[in-house]
Amino acid sequence: MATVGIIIFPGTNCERETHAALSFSGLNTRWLPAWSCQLSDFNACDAYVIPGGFSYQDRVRAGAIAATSPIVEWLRIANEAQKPILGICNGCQILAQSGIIPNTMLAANQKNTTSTGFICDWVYVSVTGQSLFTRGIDTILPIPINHGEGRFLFKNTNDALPVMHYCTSDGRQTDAANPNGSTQNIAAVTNATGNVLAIMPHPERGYLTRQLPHHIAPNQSKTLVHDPQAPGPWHRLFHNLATHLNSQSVTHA
Amino acid sequence: MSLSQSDCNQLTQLLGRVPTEVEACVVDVMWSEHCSYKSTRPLLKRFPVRAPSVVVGVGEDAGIVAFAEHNGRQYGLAVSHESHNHPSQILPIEGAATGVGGVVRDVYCMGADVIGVLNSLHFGQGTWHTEHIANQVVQGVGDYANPLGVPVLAGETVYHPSYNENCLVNVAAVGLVPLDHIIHSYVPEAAKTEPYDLILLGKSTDATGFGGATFSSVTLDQSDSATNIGAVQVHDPFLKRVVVNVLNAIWAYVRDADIAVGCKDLGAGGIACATSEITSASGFGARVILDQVNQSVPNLDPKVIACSETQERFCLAVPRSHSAAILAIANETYAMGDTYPNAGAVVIGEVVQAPRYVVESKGQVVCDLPISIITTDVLVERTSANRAVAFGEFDVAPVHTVDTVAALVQHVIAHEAARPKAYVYRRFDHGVRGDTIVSPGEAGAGVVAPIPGCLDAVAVSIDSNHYGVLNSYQSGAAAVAEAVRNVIAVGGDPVALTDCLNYGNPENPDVFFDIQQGIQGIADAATALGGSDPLPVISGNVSLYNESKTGSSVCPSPVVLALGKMADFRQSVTMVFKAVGSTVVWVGKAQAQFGGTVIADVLPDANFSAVPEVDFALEKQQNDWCLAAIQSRRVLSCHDIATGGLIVTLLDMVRGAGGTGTIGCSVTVPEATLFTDCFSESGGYVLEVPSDSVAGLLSTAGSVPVRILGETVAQPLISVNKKTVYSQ
Repeated sequence: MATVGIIIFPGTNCERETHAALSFSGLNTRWLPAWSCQLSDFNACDAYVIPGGFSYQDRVRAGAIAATSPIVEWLRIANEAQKPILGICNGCQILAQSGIIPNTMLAANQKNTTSTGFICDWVYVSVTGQSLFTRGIDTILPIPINHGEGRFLFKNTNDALPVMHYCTSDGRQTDAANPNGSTQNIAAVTNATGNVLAIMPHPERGYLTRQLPHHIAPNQSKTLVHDPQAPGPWHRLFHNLATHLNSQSVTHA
Repeated sequence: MSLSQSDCNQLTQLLGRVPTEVEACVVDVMWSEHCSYKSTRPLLKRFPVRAPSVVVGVGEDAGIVAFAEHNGRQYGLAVSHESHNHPSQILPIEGAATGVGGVVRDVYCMGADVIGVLNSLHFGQGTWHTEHIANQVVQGVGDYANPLGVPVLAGETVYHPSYNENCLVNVAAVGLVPLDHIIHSYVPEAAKTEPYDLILLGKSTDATGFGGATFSSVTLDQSDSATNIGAVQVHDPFLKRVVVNVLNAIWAYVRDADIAVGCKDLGAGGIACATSEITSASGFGARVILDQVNQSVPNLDPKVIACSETQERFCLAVPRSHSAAILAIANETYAMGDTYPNAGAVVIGEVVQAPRYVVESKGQVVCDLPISIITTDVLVERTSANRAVAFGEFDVAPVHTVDTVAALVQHVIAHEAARPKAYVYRRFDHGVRGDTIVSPGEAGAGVVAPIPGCLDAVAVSIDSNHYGVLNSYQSGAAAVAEAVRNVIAVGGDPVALTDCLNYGNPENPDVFFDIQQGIQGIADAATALGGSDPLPVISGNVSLYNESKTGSSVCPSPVVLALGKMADFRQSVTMVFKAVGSTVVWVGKAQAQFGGTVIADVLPDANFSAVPEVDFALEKQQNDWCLAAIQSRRVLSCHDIATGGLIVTLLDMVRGAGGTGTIGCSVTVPEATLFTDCFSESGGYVLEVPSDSVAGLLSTAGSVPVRILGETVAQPLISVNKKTVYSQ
């Protein structure tokens, strides 16, 4: 059975629900604390997730300190071996800061030169493009955002590999639907080989239907959901990881 | 220091000598209103505090009430409710942030995991300064809760000119704890036969917050704000997150080793307060050696080390034979010193059998007090200017047609009380942990299902009102009634209350009378609105001297939190209308009592004076029937009637969270009672019921006043007697 390493830094705070979402897809998990993790434990994992949070207090810039830690060096090597890597919110910022996702930085939320500050809200993204996590999800899905520094900037926008764009509920990528001023409404990017996903919104808060507010999912009103563990829209992302890892273990066998 | 001359004389007399500097500081803190409740303690005895569901009642850092059983394990909910009013007025970001930081510590130290926080924010109106404070307080709450990783489940933001020089920032935290994991706020019995160490865990001590507890217990003077800044603590939610992880690892060790420990958070009064309280609470004494305290700056004065309110610290009492292992968890496994200079765990003293509180510094005894002096029941006699309290008074409702009511509705909609609060809650993370079921904006109460794989959910609301300007008894009673209604409106069964009493200077007889009345109102409502037992008050806080030297005191502001539970989160309902063609049902009875209400603000010349009265018997009947209706799953949406009356309730149900509602309603009310029905704040509910089940449901109402108001329509508007009074 494949094992996913959950990398935690001082200040990580979404590890609980990230673990729950991975477990729900039948994946084994292992905690990898940045300050005490052994290389052998790290290497024993088949994939890695960096959950959201405020690693090292967002000092300098979100993700900047964590990106210089030894465990991220190991992650770079894992990336070269094309192991799947998922960075959510602060994890996304760390992947950008470290260069594992090249050409990318996450700046403070700002629309039309006005800072929006921290935003907690549900938005829509249209999912397109190639990453092993988003494979086959080509659709528009609701997802929560919770960040103060989520505005994607690129050294060269043409080189960016976006897989999600902020949009209206019917899929229009308007300026109004862009919550944080992100370049071209980009919400998530992948790398050239598709094994890395750096995503600012929180799929682990949408892997069960019960996590969706009524105004987002009126037809799935909680009073009507018979299965309290009914998979939500983002279960698919974690399921894709499980499918990928399971198919690999079959190949290896 | 604010130790009064009379306190100083009393201390000298009790000791038989002049107190040392450290002793004076320790007593100054411990005898402050904030720590000793010296004005209000006899009054607080009026609260019902016992019920079979109460696991830990008032007296420890947080109260605990039984919650649910899952996989053979019993769980409880730990709740603490605090204020951070004075610090937030002086330094709003730091003040509000450390308010959240302090209240979560109260819950963590009981062995619980915080599953949500709530806030009740009261701001002034009309100046750049009040706006600045409002903005910064919201920033401060988010700055702490967001990095800590606890969802803000619910809250209220209110405005009143009486808060112009004294904002109120009340915060509450709710935690989940398996009942066999509870850690108490006192040294365990085992310390009688086994040596126990006192361990300080967390941030290294500095001079921040020195004198904070006493500063909270005096009247604010704006001209002193610069000197008071040093008394505000500095927050570090990032470090707190690390400390909490360490604490959880320590609890796991404690369970494995099967040892008894005690824990207390360091808040007001710092080391002096925590070490004296944790030991004296079970009849022990303490010996504290200040040189052993891990400090972030050198050469701190002993009294500063003893009393500074450096944040993110806990005090543990552990068997000496396990001290080394517990220190290692913090200092080695979690390498706290790498995270913050000198942070970690150190032994700072020991539990002693003699009931004395001894502090040593550089080989000298700098404090040697009988524990009884520190924890003595200091009391002060306050005089109360008794005034007649009106019951059963009514206003004369002005005569209005539907056209003139429509004009008034525009004013009510424009009122602060009706303004959607997304601009506040959008800045707070309400989804972290992934367990939130009903978020802010969706209903008056928040709902969270905190136990993995378990259907049981918590419903929680925090409420207050401005009725205290006219009637301080009803302000207390109505705060309880509204918080309880909000819990019921989402489908929760209320099980406990907490409170924070925010008033002016208790030495002012008029203010003291308001305090007495508010407490009585809360006590009576808690008794009347419970089941066979009263709703127990399990935690609380008193914040006095919310008055500036210019003589303006805040509106009497008792803030009440109601905690409820539901057996299945799928029975929770939200307020937004769900379907076109449903029947809109009104539960309750509108009385012509408009004093202190929104419509009284809109019509100042009407001189309304009768405050909405809580009819306890009726309220209880309505609550029971509504909850049963929701539990029977025949209710599509539900919202309570409170501030602003029926019109604002309907407005909320049409607009929904963040203005996402798409369904409106068309209602009919008798012309004769148009004004009262639309704007009265008498407690009640509006339910949306499928039209085919409404007859069956209403046949169960018995003596509960229910009335069919109208039906839901396809456009997001409100129509009253065929006149559109609101359209999105």
